[in-house]
Amino acid sequence: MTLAMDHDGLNVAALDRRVTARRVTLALLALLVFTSICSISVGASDASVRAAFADLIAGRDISDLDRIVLWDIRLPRLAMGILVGAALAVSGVVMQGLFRNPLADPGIVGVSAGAGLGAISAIILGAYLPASILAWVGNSLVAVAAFLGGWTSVLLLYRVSTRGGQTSVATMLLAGIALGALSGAVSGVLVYMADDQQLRDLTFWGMGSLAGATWTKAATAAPIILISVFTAQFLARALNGMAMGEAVAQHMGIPVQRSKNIAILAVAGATGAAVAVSGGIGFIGIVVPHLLRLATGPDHHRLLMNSALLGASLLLCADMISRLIVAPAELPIGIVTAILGAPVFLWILLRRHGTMGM
Amino acid sequence: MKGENIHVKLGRKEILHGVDFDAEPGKVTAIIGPNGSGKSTLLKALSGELESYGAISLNGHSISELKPWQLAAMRGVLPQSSTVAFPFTVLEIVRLGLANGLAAADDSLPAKALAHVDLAGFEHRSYQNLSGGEQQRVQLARVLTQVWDATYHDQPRWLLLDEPVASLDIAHQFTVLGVARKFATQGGGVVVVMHDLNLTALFADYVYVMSEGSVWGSGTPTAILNDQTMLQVYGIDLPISTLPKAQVPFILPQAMRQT
Repeated sequence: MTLAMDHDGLNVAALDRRVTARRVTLALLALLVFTSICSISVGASDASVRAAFADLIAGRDISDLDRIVLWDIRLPRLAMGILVGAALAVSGVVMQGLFRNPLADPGIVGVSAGAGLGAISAIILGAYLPASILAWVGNSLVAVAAFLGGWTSVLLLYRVSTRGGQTSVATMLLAGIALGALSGAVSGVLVYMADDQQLRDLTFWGMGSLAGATWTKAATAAPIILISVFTAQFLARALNGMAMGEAVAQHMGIPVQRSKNIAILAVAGATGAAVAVSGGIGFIGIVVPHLLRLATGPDHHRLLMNSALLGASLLLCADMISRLIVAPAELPIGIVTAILGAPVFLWILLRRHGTMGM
Repeated sequence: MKGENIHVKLGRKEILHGVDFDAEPGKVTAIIGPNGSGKSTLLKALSGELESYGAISLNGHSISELKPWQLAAMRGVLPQSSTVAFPFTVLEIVRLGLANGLAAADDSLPAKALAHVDLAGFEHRSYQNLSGGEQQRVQLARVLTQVWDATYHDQPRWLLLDEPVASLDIAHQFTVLGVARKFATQGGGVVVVMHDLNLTALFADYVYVMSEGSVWGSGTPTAILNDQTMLQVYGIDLPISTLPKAQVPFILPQAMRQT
């Protein structure tokens, strides 16, 4: 067998990245179990939770306080962390495949900004709603509004950039920037109308946080995120084909337009639901797919699944850091992911510079 | 493969004005013509990539009624150039043809296809670091993998190639056109857009000459590649020469008459 050398001088002849990717899936599953256990054990409350957790697993009785900390605080937070992490990472992979650009992200095409506008409107204008509606939507007002905002952004974006059944990616990207700016501007106007308490809510929500995790929120987000992430797994073949252009994908027998529609809906669902319950947590959708492409290549068959797993683990880690670093208070998780993720983003830019003329 | 009265509009401008086209399996059918004459547009209409008015059929089926995967099982398409968005290896790209064609079971095809285009051993190289000509041959290997057997259930398969030799050195021009010729010999159909008239004369069984969005004429290379074609289609007064032995027409630019 001839030994091929790639441009980094690595011997890659014997290496099939499909095999590596399968091993990585197993490793990531193990990592997720490990980070989940850590996430339950770590927090502002005292360390007896760990013992209580062990007792719970062993089937022994635990105290009411421990039960509350575990069942009402830690576990919903764990569930939301996994859901949101997976949703953001998979949204990133799908957007990047759709736009044929490893730097594309739901944040870039204004989906997150639209969801943000929805949430901010709910926080500030919610007080003016009739009491009957408030009673009906209850605590999930912000969540519902954020989801609707994200959804509306995608629909608008789609209307603007689709002509005769063909979506132009360039138009979509530019329209996304415009829509994102518009959402941001309207949000800015709304912030001027906010009172002190609302401003505090807004700041907290804007930086992203899992602190408000409840079973209700997790249950609101779970079906949408699970359906979106599950559906995205079937886009692997289409995204691989579209990496070579839509025409080539079509020549290879991929129903391009239908795949794009599904991809857009999956991204809207996953991102909308994630932003609704956790605010603006950035960079997961950029960092996770990039790391996995470095490790196992750009084939979407494993990339989608592995991204969901690594996204969940990474968000749980960021959440633990946010809880520990200024304990007993906690830092919004969006700050942690930005501090970890932004340099990676810049690093990708620098590496691409010169090789791709970007 | 048959096309009747094909019209293609891009925006408001009509690019093809009622083209009739007929290609037979077992033959290499070339489409030639000056820049902007509609060669590539015709190929894109035939592949179903561009929306067209008129009737285009493949093995007796109207292509507008075939699903993308059914079309993909019948014909492979090599575009003029392909950029790839992510750092795929050569093998991963050729394998995409495998995943989408009917020969999905045979994992050895990509390596065979690469050997056909003189790229054996390139499997694990990064596609983005290859030269333009090498990338073009990788894409051809992917297309070959998609329609590996020239016939399937007694139906011919088709190769649609858009200027497959444009960025290749002279040796690999022969490699690639040899692959096309072999595909036709095995019973498949080949439709190829060409610029090089000498290679067209050498490899094509039948030639369509496009001019300003219409078929100016068609025929065997010997019949259609003549002084009149050069003058009326290409606008140059350049007599065609033939080799006395093989009766293959060749175009010698040095023979240009001064006006």
